[in-house]
Amino acid sequence: MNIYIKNMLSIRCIMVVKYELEKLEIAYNDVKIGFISLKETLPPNKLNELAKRLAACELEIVENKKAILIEEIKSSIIEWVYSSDLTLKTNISVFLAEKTNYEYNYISNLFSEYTALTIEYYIMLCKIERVKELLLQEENTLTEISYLLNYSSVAHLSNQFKKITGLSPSTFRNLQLMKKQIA
Amino acid sequence: MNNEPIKIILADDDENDRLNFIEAFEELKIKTDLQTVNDGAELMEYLTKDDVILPYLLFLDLNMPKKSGLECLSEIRKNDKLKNIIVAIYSTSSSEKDIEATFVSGANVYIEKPNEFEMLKDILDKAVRLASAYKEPPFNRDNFLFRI
Repeated sequence: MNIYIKNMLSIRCIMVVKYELEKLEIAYNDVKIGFISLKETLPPNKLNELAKRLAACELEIVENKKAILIEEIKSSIIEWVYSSDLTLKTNISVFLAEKTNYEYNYISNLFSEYTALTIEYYIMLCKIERVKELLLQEENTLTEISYLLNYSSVAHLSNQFKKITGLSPSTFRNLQLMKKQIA
Repeated sequence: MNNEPIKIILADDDENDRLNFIEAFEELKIKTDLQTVNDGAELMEYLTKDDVILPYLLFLDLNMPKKSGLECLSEIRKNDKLKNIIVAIYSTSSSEKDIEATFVSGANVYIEKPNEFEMLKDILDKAVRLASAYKEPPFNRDNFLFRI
């Protein structure tokens, strides 16, 4: 039995899910971001119990088929954006098609229909969100960040950042630093 | 996806601006539950009522009588009950000083009031879509800064 989970983000989420599964003595094959593969089908009362425990960690079990696919698309995008494996980071549309086993056109239409955003815009937002995190960590230069996220150049990254957020990367960072000093 | 209307409040002392704002939302496709208040004091009174349903998104004019937008913003960010509201500043000012001050005080979005109705529609549409993206990971509210 496969279960799809909303809001999973990192290895820590996987650890939490594994911990809860073990506590409830549910046998599983594998846990990935957004996805659990179980050895057997769960009886409804156990599934409810699991849902309740996951909800306490702000994780949610998804049931509707299209909603499941949307979550799969979102978690694949997050995986692509947050992965440091540069061989993955070629064409994201190919990556998403391979991950979901649907044509990119189909998932792109479905995505805009279900969420308030087009898939391209969502991808851009995720990338910019990652750029923001990396900027604040201050471990990488902007050039390195642009390379990590598969931008063709720093200028392109800078322009996209400005276009989407209305702020330049350095203004953004300064504002955040000032905010921290006050808090 | 989720068909629950997004609860939005606008605090603005200018009646024309309020009407434009309501009309713009009526023409947009997004489902919203919109409410307006006339100044900062009224806003804070509303938000601190015991039985209030808090808005997801608050549009805040800077220049208002009784209590300014900036004062409201810092009160909201200091209040544990209110601090998670997404705040979009909605102002005619384009001074860098105002913009910086509001971001540093915890505003999420800075919007300069446009002169044209069509532009207002586009901008509000963008603000609401961005705000709904920030409901879920990987988006982090702390990094939610946009100037539209």
